[in-house]
Amino acid sequence: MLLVVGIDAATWRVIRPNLDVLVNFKRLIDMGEASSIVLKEKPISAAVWCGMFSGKLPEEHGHTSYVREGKIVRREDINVDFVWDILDRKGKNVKAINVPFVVPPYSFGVEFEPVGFGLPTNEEEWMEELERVTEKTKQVIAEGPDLVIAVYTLLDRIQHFHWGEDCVVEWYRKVDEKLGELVFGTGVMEERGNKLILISDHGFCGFGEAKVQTLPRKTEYGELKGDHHEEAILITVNVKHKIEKPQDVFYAIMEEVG
Amino acid sequence: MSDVREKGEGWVKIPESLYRVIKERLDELGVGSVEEFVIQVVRQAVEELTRKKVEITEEERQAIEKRLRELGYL
Repeated sequence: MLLVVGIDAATWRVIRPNLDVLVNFKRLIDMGEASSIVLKEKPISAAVWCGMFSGKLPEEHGHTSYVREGKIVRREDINVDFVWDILDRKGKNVKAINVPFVVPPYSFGVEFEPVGFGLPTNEEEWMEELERVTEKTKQVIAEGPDLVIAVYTLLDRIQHFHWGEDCVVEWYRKVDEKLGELVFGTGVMEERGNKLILISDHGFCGFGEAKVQTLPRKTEYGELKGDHHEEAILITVNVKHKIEKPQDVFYAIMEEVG
Repeated sequence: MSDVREKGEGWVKIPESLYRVIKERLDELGVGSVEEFVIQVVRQAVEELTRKKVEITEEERQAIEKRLRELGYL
């Protein structure tokens, strides 16, 4: 089985200095290979997640925003085959949970209702997303499919609203705990031959620290505290294919599962 | 059950009359065998199911847009 865990907006800027409390990140770094993906494209979640699971560059898949011409873009508006479509046709058992290349996020092969339309914006919703994505993913892992993809979106919102505050590390710790349940609690990595890709779509930083500003500082919510950064995180375990850009994830999955 | 074609486990039965119609029109259907055609059609139907459209109500659309505005996407 290949397990792909996506953590929207996860950044080494928070993880590296806090590895003493992020014990499961630490354990994975020690057992696998940790690196960064430096995005060449603008760090927009819709485009990056789409490229990651279709293998196509933004100019090829053409999906660069959750909203196009005033309308919310849906799966069927994006004219690509995703890795789950291709592998399913090949007879592989594939499950994808809460993949946020569209809002509400997309799921494949499982019934999953995203929390807050995939844009959870308060503590209650952040906790609910953590719990529900974890529980559904554990349930799916127990079925033993060929590929499981699961994505958490909460850290993106938490960092937009609270970047620089102590609570950010506390939420990383909660994500770390759930990561431990998924990767170690299920025993998935104890089985020889199983593989893991842990990845974010972009990093995070204060305004002015990234090469390009992705979102405006002032919004309807008020003043955002941080913005997307071009450096995303990557940890792989037992994955041979080299991942240097988001699109490589598609090819890594095809090589490992297809 | 004479009007069906049978094989081992994992195979499904289809009426023999349907099998013959497909077999006579393989070139027209652009496939090399009846099995290939049946798999192709069933696969498309299953994809339709798994790609089922997520219908968004007007109320949900407004809620999503509000959240996107708060993040500066709109």
